[in-house]
Amino acid sequence: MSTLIELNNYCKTIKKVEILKNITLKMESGKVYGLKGKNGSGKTMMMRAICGLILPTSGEVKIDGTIIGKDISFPPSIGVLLENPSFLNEYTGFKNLKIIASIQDKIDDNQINKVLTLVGLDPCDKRTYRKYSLGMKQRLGIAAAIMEQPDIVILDEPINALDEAGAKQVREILKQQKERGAVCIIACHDSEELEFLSDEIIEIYEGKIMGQYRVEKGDVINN
Amino acid sequence: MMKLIKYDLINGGKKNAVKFCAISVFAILVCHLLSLSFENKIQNGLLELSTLSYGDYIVYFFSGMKEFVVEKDKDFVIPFIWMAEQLLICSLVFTYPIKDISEHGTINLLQYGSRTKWWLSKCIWSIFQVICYYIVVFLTIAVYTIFRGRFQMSVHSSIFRTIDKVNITVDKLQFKQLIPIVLYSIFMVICIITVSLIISRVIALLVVCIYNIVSVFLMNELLLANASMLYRNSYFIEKGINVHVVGTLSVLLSVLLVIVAIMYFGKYDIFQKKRD
Repeated sequence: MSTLIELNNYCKTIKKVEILKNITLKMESGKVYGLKGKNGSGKTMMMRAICGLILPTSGEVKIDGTIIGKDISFPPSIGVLLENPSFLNEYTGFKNLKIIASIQDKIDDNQINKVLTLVGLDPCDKRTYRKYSLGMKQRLGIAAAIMEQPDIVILDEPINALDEAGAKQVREILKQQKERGAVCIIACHDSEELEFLSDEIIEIYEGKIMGQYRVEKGDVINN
Repeated sequence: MMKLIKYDLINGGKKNAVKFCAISVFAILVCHLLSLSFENKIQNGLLELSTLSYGDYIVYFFSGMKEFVVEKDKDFVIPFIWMAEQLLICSLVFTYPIKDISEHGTINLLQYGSRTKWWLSKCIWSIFQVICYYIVVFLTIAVYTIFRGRFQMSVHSSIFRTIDKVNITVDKLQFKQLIPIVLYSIFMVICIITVSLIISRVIALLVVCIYNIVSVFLMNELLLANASMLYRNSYFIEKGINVHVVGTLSVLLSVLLVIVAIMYFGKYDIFQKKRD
């Protein structure tokens, strides 16, 4: 299995506060990595670092050997849902995805319809994003992240605001992404759910990796 | 890059629709103010003209204030119309480019993969807003003139001599004479978005307001805002501010600011402000 993401001695300091401390890890394609930690532990920042949205104070992030911030600005194939999904209020879910998809022109309307159905949204729904419930917004965020079948899928709190059926759909989606060979990184407050969804758990505390565990059938196995 | 520009034009443009309506209303009010002054002077026998032209309205709209000379018993009167015009232009770019970084723009940025092109798209969008501002003003004044004047480019210097005691040397308005004003507005919006990116939006607005206020006090080529007041512009008055110098400086400084912003944005950390 090829290594896709590498963080080497990654440190990030913002306003004299060390947010990420000397993080070194590798993530491989075809696996789901669960980031575990309290609020403010650095999970989201680590995701942003992998996306290239924040740049390191020292250290580096490599995607397939290319360094973010030096060789490339952002990973070439990435889908993200970070914190609150943000879309254009005056458009429908379909139209919002179409606008995003038009940038790379990789997928057509049929594929957008399929991904909307996959996340449990009606592609023909004429309601604008403004009128969406929190759960629907979350589903649209997930749809935007996976619709182009990117090599890296990052989902921050994907089951937030979702009901049991929604959570089940997320599990199914992650399974599909894994099977097609994407590296998936998720963060979730619910430890049980995180362990269920992930192949490996990365425990973060105050910006530092405290442990990395393999998970098999929902049971944690120490590496 | 065209896709990014198209996205900005549609998304950012929609957010400014109300502001353009306000600009249109403002232009009508300024024209009406000139009409009232004009009628007043006619009634008092100070003017012998029958009607105002499109050129008169345009010159009055962009007139600003004649050079301020410190004298005893002479108060400084703030040129409210000109200040309001500058604030309206600033308001067009005050929100969207910077807010979009931490909102929907993040997805586009990741999809597009280039920080430089993403920022350039925001600059192009800002310049487009300035152009739209002038189009809206010209069109609104044109419509007003159809109802309350004569659609001619002629400029009646007697009106400005009577109302504001300024000797306008132009008798026919040409749009090329207004290019320095547009160039200054472009410099101003590029300045707003650059300072907003590097420091904050409020500071950016303060910087531009202070620069404009200082420009009102001092007539100087380095204070570029002077050229955006036709009562100080070498095209319109004798010994006015050299518009070629100001135009060139506006372009050069705008390019410099764009380069600075691109370099800064290349290392800029993107957060979702609401929660971080």
